[in-house]
Amino acid sequence: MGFREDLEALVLSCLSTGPAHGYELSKRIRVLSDEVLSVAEGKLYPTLHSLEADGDISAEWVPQGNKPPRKVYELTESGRKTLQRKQSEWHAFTRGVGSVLQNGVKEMKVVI
Amino acid sequence: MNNRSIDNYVSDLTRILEQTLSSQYAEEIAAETKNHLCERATELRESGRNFADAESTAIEEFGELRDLSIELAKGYPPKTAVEPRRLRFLPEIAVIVLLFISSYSYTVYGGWRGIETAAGLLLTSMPILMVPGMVAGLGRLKYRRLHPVATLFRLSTYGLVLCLISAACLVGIQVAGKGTLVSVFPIYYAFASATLVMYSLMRISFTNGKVYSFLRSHIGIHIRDK
Repeated sequence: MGFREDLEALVLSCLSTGPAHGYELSKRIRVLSDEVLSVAEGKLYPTLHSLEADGDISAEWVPQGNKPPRKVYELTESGRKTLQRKQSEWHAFTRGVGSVLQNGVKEMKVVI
Repeated sequence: MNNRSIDNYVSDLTRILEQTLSSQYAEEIAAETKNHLCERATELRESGRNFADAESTAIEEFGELRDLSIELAKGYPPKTAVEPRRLRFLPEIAVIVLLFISSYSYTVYGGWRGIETAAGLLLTSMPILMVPGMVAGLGRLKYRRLHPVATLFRLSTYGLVLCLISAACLVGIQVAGKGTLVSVFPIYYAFASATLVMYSLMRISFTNGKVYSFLRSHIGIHIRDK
């Protein structure tokens, strides 16, 4: 799983909690990861546009009174399915890595 | 520390982006960037920074313009692919060419036989006119708002109108007893039905991605332009 795909999963997951604009999304990623992850804007916006092009999220320019309109992103039905697929892939990956690490430790103990 | 204001930064970004993207996309990216920077600057001001310092920090955090503009432009069609002038009169030219060929066949054959030929020619050509619109509508979501898509959409609308006119002509010829078309009706109406189906698909694909997403997840339509 490449970084770009991970970022797509993060964005989809953050949008599953509700629609958000770009800045709010970057904050959500930071907060939901307990300040561990911070996404570079140069990566976040291209990812959002790519997900929009794939139909996984939809975007709308929302007027905000006397301020300029804001582009708000929302998860689509197709995006929810993509998120579910990415979540299962991630769980399989972490299970696999966890298993290798744990069995590695056991083997080492036996050898010692 | 960066002393540029957000407005200057965004206008520089727009200028750089316009070298590779259409003005419409460059402005869209710039507007989103400006919103981001303003939100961040506001947050920094609320935490006690002064105005200039907040703007500079927000810009500094956002990143260096040159590298960033390359990243931000990713996923958008390059300028050359979206030049609206290139395709502006394509639908009208296509329709004129078709009408010219049809009227030529009418001139050559004369009378009802010419009308049959012209109507048949128009009818069978219509699905071909629909293809660009449908491909643009279904497969290239991110190109939706560009002029070429609107042009292709117009092309498809002309295609549908001409198809209906030519189908009506054929029925008229048959009803008036000026031609015997019963044996070829199934072929003609298969074309007409194909045109209607294609047109409907294209129309529903122009619903801001919602129907597209539905089709993609429920029927398995998945056309990517990557």
